[in-house]
Amino acid sequence: MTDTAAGLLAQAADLPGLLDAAYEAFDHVLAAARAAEDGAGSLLPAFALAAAAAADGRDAVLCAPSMPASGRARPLPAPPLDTAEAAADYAASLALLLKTLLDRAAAGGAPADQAACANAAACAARIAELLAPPG
Amino acid sequence: MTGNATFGDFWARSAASLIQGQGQPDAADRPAEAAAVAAALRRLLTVITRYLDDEVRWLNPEGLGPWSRALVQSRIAVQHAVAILAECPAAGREPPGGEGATARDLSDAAGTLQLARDLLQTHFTAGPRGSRTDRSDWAPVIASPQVSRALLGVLAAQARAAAARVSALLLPDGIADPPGRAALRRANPWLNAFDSAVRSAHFLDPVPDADLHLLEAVPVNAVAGRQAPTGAEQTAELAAGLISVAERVQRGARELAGRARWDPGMNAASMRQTAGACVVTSDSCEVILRSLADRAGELGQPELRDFLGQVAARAAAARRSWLAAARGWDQMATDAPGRMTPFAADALGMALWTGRLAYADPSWTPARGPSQQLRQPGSLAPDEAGLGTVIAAVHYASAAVMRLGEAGEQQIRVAAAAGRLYVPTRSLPEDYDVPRRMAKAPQSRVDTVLQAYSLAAEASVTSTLAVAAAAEVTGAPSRVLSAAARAAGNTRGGPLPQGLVMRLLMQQPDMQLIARANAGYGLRGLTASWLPGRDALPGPPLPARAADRGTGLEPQM
Repeated sequence: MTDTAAGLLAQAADLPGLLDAAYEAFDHVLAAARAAEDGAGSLLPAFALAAAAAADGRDAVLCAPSMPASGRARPLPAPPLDTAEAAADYAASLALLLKTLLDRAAAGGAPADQAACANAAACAARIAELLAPPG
Repeated sequence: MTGNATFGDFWARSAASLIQGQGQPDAADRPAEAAAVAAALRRLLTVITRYLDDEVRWLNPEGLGPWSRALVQSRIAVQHAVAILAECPAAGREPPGGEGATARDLSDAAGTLQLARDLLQTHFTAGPRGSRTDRSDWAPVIASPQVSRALLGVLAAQARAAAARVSALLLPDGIADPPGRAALRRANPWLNAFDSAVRSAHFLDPVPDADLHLLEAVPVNAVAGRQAPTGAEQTAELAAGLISVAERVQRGARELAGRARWDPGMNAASMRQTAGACVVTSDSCEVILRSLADRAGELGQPELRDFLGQVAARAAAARRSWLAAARGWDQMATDAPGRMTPFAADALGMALWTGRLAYADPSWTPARGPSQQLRQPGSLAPDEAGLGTVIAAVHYASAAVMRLGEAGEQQIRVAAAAGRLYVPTRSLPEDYDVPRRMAKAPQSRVDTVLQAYSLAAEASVTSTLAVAAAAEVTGAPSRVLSAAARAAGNTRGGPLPQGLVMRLLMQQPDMQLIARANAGYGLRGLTASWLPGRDALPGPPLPARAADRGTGLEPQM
């Protein structure tokens, strides 16, 4: 289902579309991290803090004036992830994509949108930092 | 324990000033120095008067117990002595050639005793008409009857030592008393009266050594600056760093609830990070406790191994509860998303220090790093003393997490009442028609988060009490936390965890462990009734700090 979350982001044609997709993607990362926590073993600290960063990123996106006000949740199906490592890889790669797109969006547009995108990009970077594979 | 100066540091110096010169008659002290000695004694008694005035609030006019009577008698005695010394015409004038040894020692004792009082006062804010407000968790401990009695005993011991020094000047020397010495001769019986009043109270209602140790342990109310681990720390340094940051967190948590109505720092980002930090800290505490359990087994203590395993299970339960609390913030926000506050950063700092103690990699972080290998039990605690050092650090961390649970629950309650909690509109069911991105949080969602925090707080209390029991059993220096909680009447942090301790201990009954834990919790005798057919336990003394030091209050029969 990586393609689905990433696909939403890729399909975004404008800033409102990107923000809308970013909201769903952060929510998806949050759900993936929470689902992985119980069997995470020594990765639990990384998942617990990444989940917090994902919720922060989602809230940051909501602060952007260009974010559509009337959207409805579009829950994405949970990806078939067998291990905590796989869940971490998945969430980290999605977070990196989010960071790239939001950083780009933060470079233009209205100041309030820029600030919201920059905040959300920082949250995505934090998730990637926590969950990226070693090395 | 924390590296901060304590009341005991100053008191010990003050007492040493008076005791070191005892039995060494100094000819230069005698007639010419009497006035200077009278002035120095008056300074000391003035300081003691300030202490006694601080203590007046625990006088109970409706039922004067022995210590209340002793306080009244002490104040009268000291007032008389001060009045007599004030009449001395030469008092306050330095004699030609400077002060002699007795005057100098009395002055030094007065100075350090005043510093000790200043240290106690850092825990309070002065209010109108002499009232005072608590500024720290130690404030109710200082104001407790136990510590107040111990303090009165300390002051009486100072007065007794001062009287002994003065007596040496009053040896008959065949000449008429000069004014200063006449005043000393008249004042000295009042010092002895002060001492006698306190001795009588101690005889009727003895001050336990533990209360004196608690008074000695009161630290200055100051928090060390933020410090991040460098990666070069040895285990003891990591333990000290963890204690320092945990104290900082505890102190910060104390202020949180009162500000939740308006403080921008009460925001979703900080609440999430703090809850996440509690998950990580509890998780690492469990890891550490399991390693310590293994180490106890290696050191030939199978009962302690099993006991610590039980304590670790409580830390795991706290971690699970904190995970649920953290998840409560997944679909909850605040009126402004805000940024992570310095306080939340401290909580994350505590998680980092705890992890550094738990894991072998000196550069460990919560991130998915190259090495999540656990620290070897032998490197965590090379010997039995090392067990206590690490348990003390875990004790402080657990207590900080416990405080965060209580504070978090209150913060959410206050923020909800102030209408500060929101949810993403997208997270609401379809039938909610809110044309905005955020909506006021439905009460059902607030209740869910509150319940999760309440459970996290309870699990953290249970975990902390279990670690406290381990601290008692191993003689860890953090036992002072339990004693302070008991003295302050903290109903969540300290009192009588009978059911828990008994359950923990009786799963692997070991009579010596039980007796030592009981002694620490004041449960002596309880076990006999809990265990049918067993006699009362012998109750060996806890490994006591300064165990062979007297209180200075022992009645002289």
